[in-house]
Amino acid sequence: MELKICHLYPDVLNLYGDRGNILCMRRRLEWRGIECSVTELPLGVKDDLTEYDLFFIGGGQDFEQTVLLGDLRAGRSENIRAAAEDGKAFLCICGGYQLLGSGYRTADGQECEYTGILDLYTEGSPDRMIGNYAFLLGPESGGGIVVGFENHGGRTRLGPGLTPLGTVLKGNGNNGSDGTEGVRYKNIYGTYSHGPVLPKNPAFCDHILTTALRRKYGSAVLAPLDDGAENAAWSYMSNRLHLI
Amino acid sequence: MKKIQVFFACLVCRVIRVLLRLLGRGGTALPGKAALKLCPTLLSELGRGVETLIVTGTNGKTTTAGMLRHMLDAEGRAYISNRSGANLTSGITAEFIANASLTGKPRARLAVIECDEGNFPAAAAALQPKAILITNLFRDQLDRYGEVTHTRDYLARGVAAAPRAVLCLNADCSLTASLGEDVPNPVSYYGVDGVSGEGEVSLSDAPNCLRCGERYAYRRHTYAHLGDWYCPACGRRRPVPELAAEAVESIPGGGSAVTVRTPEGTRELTVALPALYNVYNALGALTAGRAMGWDSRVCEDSLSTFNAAFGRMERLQVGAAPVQIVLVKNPAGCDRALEYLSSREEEVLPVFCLNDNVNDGTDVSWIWDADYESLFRRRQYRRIGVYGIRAQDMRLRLKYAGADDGAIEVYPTLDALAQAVQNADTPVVILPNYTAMLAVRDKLSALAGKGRFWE
Repeated sequence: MELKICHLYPDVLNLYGDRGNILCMRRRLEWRGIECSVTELPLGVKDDLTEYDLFFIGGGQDFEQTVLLGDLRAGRSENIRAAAEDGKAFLCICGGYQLLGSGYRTADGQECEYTGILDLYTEGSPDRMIGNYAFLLGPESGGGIVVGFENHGGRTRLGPGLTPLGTVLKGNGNNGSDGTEGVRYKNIYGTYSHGPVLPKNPAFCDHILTTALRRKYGSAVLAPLDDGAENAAWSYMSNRLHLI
Repeated sequence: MKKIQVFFACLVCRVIRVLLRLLGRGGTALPGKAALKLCPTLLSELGRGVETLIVTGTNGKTTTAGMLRHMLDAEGRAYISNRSGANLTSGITAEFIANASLTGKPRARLAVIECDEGNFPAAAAALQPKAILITNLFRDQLDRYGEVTHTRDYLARGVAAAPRAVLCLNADCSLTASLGEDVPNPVSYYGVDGVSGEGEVSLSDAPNCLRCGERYAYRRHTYAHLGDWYCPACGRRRPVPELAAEAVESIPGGGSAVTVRTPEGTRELTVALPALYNVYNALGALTAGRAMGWDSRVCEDSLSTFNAAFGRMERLQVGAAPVQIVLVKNPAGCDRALEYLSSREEEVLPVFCLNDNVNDGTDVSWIWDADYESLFRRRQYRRIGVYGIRAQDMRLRLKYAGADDGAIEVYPTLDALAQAVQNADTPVVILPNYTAMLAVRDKLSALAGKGRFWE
C-alpha cells in the first residue's frame, strides 16, 4: 500500500509547527511498512491535484493568507473542490480550515473571498483566542478526546447543514460561543488545533490515515503501534486540563 | 511635586528590592512595577541626560548587549545596563533606579539597555535613545504576538517614538531592514556578504515582500530567511550594509575569524563566540558602537575576548562532566544550537528542557518547526535527557525526529536532572528554553560553585 500526501502552500501556510502533522502521518505509515510520499505544492505551481490521496493545509499569518487569494482564484479553488467532492481526505488547520469556507472578514472590515467549498464563514477579531484546549471528536471521526493549542482571531460559524469535527471540552473552538470545534464533511477534517494536533492524538491520526487508505483501497486496517510516548504527552495535557 | 514623586517611587522600588533579596528572590519585575505605578513617567525622568542604546529584536539581544558592555568595559567607561536580562519596562526602570541617586540623578552618562519587543515602544518613547539596534525578527512567542508581522509593528511603533535615534539594522533580515524604510531616522545597516549557506530558504518566517506580496528571491543566503534578498516584482532589496562581513572562517576550538568591510577600510577581527549567528551579533554590536561614537578599534578588539552571555553557550564544570548551556527559544535559534550539537563528534549527553510559562511562550508547537531530525541523520545518542513542564512533548518530538524512544530519560525533577549531569561520564550539552534555563542554570551553577545569576 502507498499513500500520496500533498502539502498545499507549505511556503505560506507554515506556522505553529503544523508541518509536524505531515511528519507524524509519514512516520506512522512507515512504521507499519506502508509507503508514503509527500509532495509540496507551493504558491503558483500548476497541478490538477488528481494524483494525491490526502491533502494537508496548515495555518499561516493573515498577511501571507491574503497572498494566497490570487492563487486560489487562478484555478486552485476548483481543483481543491473537485478533490474534496471526490472523497479525498483533507486535514486543514486554522487558516487552512478557514480557506475551505466562503470567506473571511478581517477585524478592520476587509472582505476576503475564499474557496466556498464548505458553507462556513469566519469573522476576524483583534481579540485572539489563545491557549491549550480540548474537544471530543464526533463518532464519525473516531470519537475520543483531542488535546491541542488554539491561536486565532477568527470566529468561524458553520452553515446549517454542516457537522462540526467535535464539541469543545476546554477552550474556545470555532467561535468561543456555540461549543463547536472544526468541521467534518465527506473526508474533510478541519480544525483550529495546532500543537501540532496529530502527534499527541495518535488515534485521530490513524483515523485520518485509515479514511484515506479505505478511499483508495476499499479496506484498510492499521496495525497497532507502541504509543507510549504519544499517550504520555496526551495524558499530561489531559490531566492539566482536568479532563481525566 | 515631580521631584517628590520620583524620590518616593525610587525609594519604594529600593525597599521592595531589598526585601525580596532578603527572601532569597532575585530578578523579579515587582520593584520596577511598583515604582512605575507610583510615577508613570519615572523611566523618562531617570533616563534624562543619559546617552542610551537600546538593543531589541528576536534573537541575540542578550549576547549582543553583553558584547556592547564588554566594549565599554574595555574603554573603562561607566554605564547603566540591565545585565540580568530583565528586559521589560519594569526591569529597565528598576535598573535605572539602582543606578540613580535618591533624588533620581543618574550615576552614569551611558546606558546599554536590552529591551523586549513588546515593551520597546514604551521604552523608546521614555528613554529617547541615541541609537537603536534591531538584531533580527523571527517567529517567536506567537501566543503572545500572534504573528511575526505583529512583532514588526511593535518595533515600528518604537522607532516612530524615537525619530532622532540612529537605527542600526540587520540588512540581511528583510523584516528588520524594512524598519529603516520611510523613517526620518538616520539608518546604518550591517550584513554578511561572504557566506553562502547550504540549501534553499525552505521554512521562511518572511517569504513574501512586505510591499507587494511577491516571493523574495536571494542572491546569497546564510540561514533561515537571512541573506541578500530582493523582490523580483517591485524591486525592493536588501540595503547596502555599512559594515559587512566579507569572509568568515571558523577557528578550531570555537570562534570565527572575520574580514569586515568598514567605511574606513577592511579589518581582520576575531569573534571569540562560535557560529555564524554570533558574527551577526558582533556586526550588530560594532554598528551600534559606531552609532554611539565609541572608539571602533577598541570595540573591534574586544570581540576577541568576549566569551559568553548569561545562559548562552555558557560553560560550567559539574562533577566530572563539562556542561554547556545553550538557550533555545524559537526555531531559528534552535536550529543554530542543533547544528552546534551535531558538530560535537564525541559521545555527549544532550538534555532538552522545555517549559511553557508565560515568559517562554505558552505555545510549544514551534519545536516541530525546528530541525531536530538533523541530530539523528548520522548517529544515535546512547542517552538523551528531557526535562521541564512539557518534557513529554519534547520526548515525543525527539521520537518523531528519529531518536530511539528507549534512549530518552525523562527527568521528573530538577534534582533528577542535576543527578544525571553529575553522574555523566561524557560532556553534557543542555538546550533549555528561557525559564527552564533560569532554573537549570541556577541549580547547576550552585553545584559548580558559581554565583547566583542576579549577583
